Amino acid sequence: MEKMIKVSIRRENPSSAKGHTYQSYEILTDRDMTILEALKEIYWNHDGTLAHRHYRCGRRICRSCEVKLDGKNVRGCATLLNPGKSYQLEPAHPETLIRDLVFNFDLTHP
Amino acid sequence: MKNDHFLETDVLIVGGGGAGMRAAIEAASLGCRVIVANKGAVGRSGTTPMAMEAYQAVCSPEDSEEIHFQDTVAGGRELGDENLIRVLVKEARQRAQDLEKYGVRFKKKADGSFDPMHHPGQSFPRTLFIQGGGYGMLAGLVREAKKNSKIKIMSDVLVTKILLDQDRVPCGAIYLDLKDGKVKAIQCPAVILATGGYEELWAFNDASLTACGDGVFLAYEAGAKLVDLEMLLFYPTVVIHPPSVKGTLFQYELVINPEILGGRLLNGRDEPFIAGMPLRDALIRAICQEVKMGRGTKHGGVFIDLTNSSLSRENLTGALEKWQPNQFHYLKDMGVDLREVMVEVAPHAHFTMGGVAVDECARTSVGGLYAAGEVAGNLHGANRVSGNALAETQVFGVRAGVSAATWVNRKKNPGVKEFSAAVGKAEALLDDLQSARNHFLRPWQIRKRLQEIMWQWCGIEREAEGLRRGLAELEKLERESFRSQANRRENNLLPSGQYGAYPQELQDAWETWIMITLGKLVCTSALFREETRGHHIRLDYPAPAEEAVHTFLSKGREPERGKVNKEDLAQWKK
Repeated sequence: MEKMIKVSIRRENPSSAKGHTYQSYEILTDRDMTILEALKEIYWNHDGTLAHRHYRCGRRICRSCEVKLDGKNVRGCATLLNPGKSYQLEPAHPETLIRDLVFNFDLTHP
Repeated sequence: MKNDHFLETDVLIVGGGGAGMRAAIEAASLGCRVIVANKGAVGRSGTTPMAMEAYQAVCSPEDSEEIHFQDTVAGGRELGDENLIRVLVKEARQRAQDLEKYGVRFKKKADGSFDPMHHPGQSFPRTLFIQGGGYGMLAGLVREAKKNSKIKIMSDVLVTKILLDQDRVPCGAIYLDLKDGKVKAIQCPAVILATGGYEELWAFNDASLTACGDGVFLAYEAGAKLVDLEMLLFYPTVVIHPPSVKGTLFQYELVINPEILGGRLLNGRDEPFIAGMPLRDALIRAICQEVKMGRGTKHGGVFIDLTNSSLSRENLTGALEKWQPNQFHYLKDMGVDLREVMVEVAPHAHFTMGGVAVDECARTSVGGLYAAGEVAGNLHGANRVSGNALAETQVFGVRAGVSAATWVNRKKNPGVKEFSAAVGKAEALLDDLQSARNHFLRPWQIRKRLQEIMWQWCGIEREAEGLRRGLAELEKLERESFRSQANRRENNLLPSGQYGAYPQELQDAWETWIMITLGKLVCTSALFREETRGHHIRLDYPAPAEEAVHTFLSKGREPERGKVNKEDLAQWKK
């Protein structure tokens, strides 16, 4: 049966003085989705202004899709979200934020 | 122009994967200042981190460079340039030893010697197993490059143009800095392209979303010769179901090897359909045949079956841990335990053998412009033997670095140039693409359409009528999506050159726009090759032509046939 995966995502553009907000999205689905799939779905079909890294190395090794899920850093390609549940997503390293969920790897891992 | 919007260097390397990083290390060791410009996060994006563990180099006493050479020529269906192949086989081993110096680890036997795998197409086991795969290899290269203060590494920059001076050689480049969304310039007398392939043109591919052929496009626009663009290698066994792990590659070479995983490939009726250890092109044709005859799986592929492995469960687990630990655990945690269930796989676009034409020194047909790795075009021919791709990045990365350094030392620096006009031009183009957002099609929708057109008309099986249809549909797509943008500028309310931090949708639009150009070139090239050879299957010309010849394309010219470089034996005897 189809249910909602609810995701609240921290949005921020550091170059504007507006500070951050949390924006909610709902995805109707009947199966578990990885965070990476869910973000792609949101970017494609809900909101083209959402910045996220969509690279996928295919074997859970590169950490390019690392993101903070309910306060804990996880790999987006290998973490499943379940229909009927609500989640919060934030950048894994907000101290080097570029925009939304995208942070600067060159500064985080010099 | 603001200071931080203008950089100066000796060698600009576009792409920070295996070939680009190796070229950077080499050029810097020869005294050059180097900038590596990478579209994503360095070390965590592009093609190399997705590469399998395989690095082909001769390592056993009964094997020889000569046999590696012959295997590669035959595997490439006689279309690979023999002067390039000779260089590859001669230097692959030495480059593997360089990697070890950089801290990259290979699987070794107890006595410390390499422990190679035997892959199809090899007369002797020759596939060195890199711990951590392409990701592990690249991590070592990045660490090494960071030790040298002459190398500046930039993540998240999209190079949009190579600038040429009055002699038609590079004097700089323009890029969009994704970190702040500003268009900026680099002055440099030499450019090395190391951007990987263009698999993203096809609907089913297992490559990076960013493998859009940036380097092939930049070279084409700079007037360089392209070669054999139609030569696209499909990897036969990429997961198509379930969706959460779709696109994960699992090496069939390991599955069907009785000494490694002892598994089978089965069609949708659970019947075996191949014998022995077929090369990739042969296996793809076999899978297509099964699907076409209605014997495919539910989602249009075949099964990898390890549930009946000839190994005991304990030994199978051990073998999976040894040979494919990341894939095995990743799939298992996503609910696909290969010891318990069969998994559906199908051929995906995996590697582009065509690209920028180069010589054995990684020189393109434009002075001061070099290409190394997958972006280059005439090494593998019509089929690539497993393990030669990563070896190629290292061997030709070094050669590109040496060539660029030689060029820089000979040539006077271009002197400070005025780049504002070029920046303005790039901004005008990006403004047009940016306004696609106001258009009825989003960039990803245009990209999807492009990918469907390419898969349908220029996919695994091709024929003249379909290729012409594909070309016409791409023309139409271009007219309906981007070309009309120029007239829409007045509707674009955003100020010119203001794209904001991480303009992801603009990057999408740019990539899609260059891919439409490349798609048309690939179809043109595929139409021109009236034969079946390796991975280029023409239903209307089912046999190979008597002689293998290259297809050359360059801007403003009709496609041309060109000689495949056959080896001058005397040259190598010394």
